Amino acid sequence: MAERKEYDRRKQPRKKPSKLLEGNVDINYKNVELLQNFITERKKIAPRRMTGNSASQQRIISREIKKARHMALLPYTVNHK
Amino acid sequence: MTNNYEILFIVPKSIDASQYSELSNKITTTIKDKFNSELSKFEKWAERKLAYTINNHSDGTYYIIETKCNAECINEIEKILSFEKASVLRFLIDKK
Repeated sequence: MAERKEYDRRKQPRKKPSKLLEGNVDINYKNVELLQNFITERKKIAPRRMTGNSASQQRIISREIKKARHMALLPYTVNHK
Repeated sequence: MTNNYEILFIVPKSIDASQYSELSNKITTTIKDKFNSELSKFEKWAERKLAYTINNHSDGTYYIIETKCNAECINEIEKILSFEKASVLRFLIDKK
């Protein structure tokens, strides 16, 4: 049983396509609607395993989210006060 | 050496028109007259609710500046923006 389960898991496709379209999407701290796809319910930066970003996309996105947070375009947390 | 910079800053909604025009004049004269640099954009970007309150302000007006200037000029503008605590809530200088 256990062996069978492991085999099945290995066969499953693990990679999800990124929410970013291929090509030159403008990833910019002012593009708040786009960045909102890459934060979790709790307003954390979503990990790559959730979004399917490539490493270089993830670096750019996390940098732009941090800029947007500084400018109060995105929240740092759900309970701001 | 000159670079392209983008500056975004937040002004509280409650600010006087005269106070804002004083600030914008200061910035434009610094870029254009003092450093003879190119000011390609200076406009209102958006008026929106802030994601969190800053100094008890929950709304703000965002202004955007695009300029091609040298580092000295940017240092001067950074000084202006950081001294104007009453009329500038936050600012971000982004090198393109």
